[in-house]
Amino acid sequence: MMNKPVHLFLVSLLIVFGALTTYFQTYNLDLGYQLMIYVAGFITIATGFIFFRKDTVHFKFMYPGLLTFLIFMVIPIFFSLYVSFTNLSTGHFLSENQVKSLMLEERHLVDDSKVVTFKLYKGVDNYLISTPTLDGLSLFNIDNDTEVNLVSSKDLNENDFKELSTKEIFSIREKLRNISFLTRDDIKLSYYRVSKLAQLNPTFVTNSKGELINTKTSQVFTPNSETGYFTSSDGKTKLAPGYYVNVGLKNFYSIFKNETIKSSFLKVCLWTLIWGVSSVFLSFSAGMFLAIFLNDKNLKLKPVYRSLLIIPYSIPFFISVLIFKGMLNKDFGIINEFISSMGFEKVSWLGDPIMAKVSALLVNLWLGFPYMFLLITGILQSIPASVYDAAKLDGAGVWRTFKSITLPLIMSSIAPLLIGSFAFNLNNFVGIYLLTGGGPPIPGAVTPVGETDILISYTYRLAFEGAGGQDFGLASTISLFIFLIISILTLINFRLSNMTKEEA
Amino acid sequence: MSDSFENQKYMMKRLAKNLAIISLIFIVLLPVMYIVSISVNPTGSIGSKMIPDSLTLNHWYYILGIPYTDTHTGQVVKSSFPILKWFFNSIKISMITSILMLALSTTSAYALSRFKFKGRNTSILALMIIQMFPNIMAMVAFYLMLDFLGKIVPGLGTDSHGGLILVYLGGTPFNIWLIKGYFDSIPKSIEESARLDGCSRFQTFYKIILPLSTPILAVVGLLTFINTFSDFILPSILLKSQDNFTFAVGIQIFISESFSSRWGQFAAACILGALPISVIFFSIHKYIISGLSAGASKG
Repeated sequence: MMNKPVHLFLVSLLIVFGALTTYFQTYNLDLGYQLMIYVAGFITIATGFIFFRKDTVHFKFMYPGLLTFLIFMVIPIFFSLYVSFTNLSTGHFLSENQVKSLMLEERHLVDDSKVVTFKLYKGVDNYLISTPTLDGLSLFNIDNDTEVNLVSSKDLNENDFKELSTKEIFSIREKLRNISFLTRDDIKLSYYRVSKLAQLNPTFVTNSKGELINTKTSQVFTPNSETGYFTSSDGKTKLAPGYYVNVGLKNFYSIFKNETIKSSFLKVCLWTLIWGVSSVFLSFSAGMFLAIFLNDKNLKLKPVYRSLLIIPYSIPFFISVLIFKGMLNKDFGIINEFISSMGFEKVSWLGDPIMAKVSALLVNLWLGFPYMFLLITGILQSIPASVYDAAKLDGAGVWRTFKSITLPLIMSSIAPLLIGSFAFNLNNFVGIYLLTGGGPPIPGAVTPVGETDILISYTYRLAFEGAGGQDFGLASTISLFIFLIISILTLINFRLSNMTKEEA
Repeated sequence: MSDSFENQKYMMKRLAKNLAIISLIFIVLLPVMYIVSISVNPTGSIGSKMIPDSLTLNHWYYILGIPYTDTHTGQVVKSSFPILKWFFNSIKISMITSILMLALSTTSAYALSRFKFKGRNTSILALMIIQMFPNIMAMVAFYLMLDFLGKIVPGLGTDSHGGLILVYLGGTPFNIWLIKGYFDSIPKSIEESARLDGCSRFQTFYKIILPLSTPILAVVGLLTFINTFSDFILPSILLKSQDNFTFAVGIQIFISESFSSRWGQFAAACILGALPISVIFFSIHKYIISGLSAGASKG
């Protein structure tokens, strides 16, 4: 795509950006900021490169389409790669510095301090605080004032102001926390909780080594870069929340070594494979059967039949899947109503491990066969009739003609599309998630995983709806695994379809 | 005598074949007919019969946000779910995405089709492979990026349509590939004469190639529209407030909360959502199939 010096130049710029982000990580930047540094970097480099050089007309044309692609496809992949080496998960969403400043903001009551009740009123551009027990009444500006003297001011009358509800006070608590209220005895009171002021001390202080020291117990908490927690010296106490740390290959290990994760992961892999192969095989067979059956010169209504048969494909997937979910409902669904009206027992279509798989495959067959039907119809129409006439003359029967002529011809042109369809089904999130939600759950699994979960729905559930918390680290690792499989399939696909050869 | 018998046998065979196909189609379309029937069935519950005893438009009034009198309670009911709004959200997002997508991918397709440069084929392959990365897992990155972007540009954050559209625009490669295929079929001689007449690269692209490519642009635009409208994953994670939902997300939440009692309204909503997509699909399905199988049949 580019010549050597330019290549080197770009790589070195990227390294500089890599170094910069690592550097920024030691500052109080969250992941979003770091990510945006990469984005800004990419845009700068790309734009500079393209508009700086003169022999890059083709890049100027490529630029718009590539830019969005880089930002919203390539960067997220790199980000996933990065996350797969971290323990980013529930309890570890913040950076070390964010956790530290969170801890440093923590306050506790000074032992003998009294808790004072306050009321808050809103004026036109200022607030009025009233502490009846201290006979204090003061006006203050919430944005600018840092210290407010709680002295009684006889000129003020609460009734001229509008009292704030606890909910309203709660909504401005962050600002109130920054203000110290001084009593007549010069005691500093701070916002303690809704409608309460009290004398507060910081719970933690930090030292030059970056440790946190509890001011009450003088316990020292050292940051542990392996577990992602501030941990006490005896290792018994950890401060929550933790922060994200680089855990190396731990996520990769846990897929292959951790017995509980490994067993459900392998189970999901196996089912994903069965799901992909069966989905393609079923819809291919059904589509081929229908296409051959309808490929009949004497069928007058052929166009009408064909249009009717592809209706399922024309409906958005999520709609069809949701409709089937309702129809397959165990207690009320029309299918079970029908079965029980015939005198049979109701079937737990989506609740039984085996039936749920069968249901998912059948629904996917309904969704997918029209595509194959359309493709194969197209192929059949391109086979000249003379081929069949010759076969007939040689005395080949229906089955023989199909086996030796029709099937090989179909296969030769449809093979890449079958692989494409396989790749699509491996990632067919909607077909599983909206129908069964991955369920029924596999008993005894530690991660949220069900009998019908395929890799992609498993990842989704790990990342976004884990009952025990979200685990982006593990989810990213599995998604890279999926990406690898899909890439290989796509590569094979392109080799098969000779797409690259044809343009050379 | 035997001739007419043969003829009769032939006719019977054809009749049997037609009947077989019709019954097959009937079975295939049962769910569709069932949903249409439920949408006008006054009981409208999940186990309602195929053929309703009487007809009602109440479910339709419900999803369109028109007040109506409930047949059981006699009270005037108005939907508390903005179903129609979700529908128009989806239409809006899909339309804007399609238009921007076309603007972004045509120039790239032109570069890949008309310029000879080193590594061109490799870059096409790379584009196609990278775009296979599961969207779901890019979600964490999307979320963080939009969260940040939203602080700078309010309309582009999480839970905004602008942000969602932006993320969709990352999916250019497949469209670039489709459009490039079409550009390849336009003879270069047309451009060459224009270039001789003093047209710049961009002018030839803009004034000659684009007008000649309206069919593929229409197909790609409509295809993007269908895909965006039908997408469930991205909006389900990026959109949070009910008023911002797309049709896919809204309807999923609407029905998942109560499968049994909202079945009739759900059926009507399904038809509302499926109809435009079906119509678009039938208007372009020939192109979709020929476009997809073009690479295959040539090899």
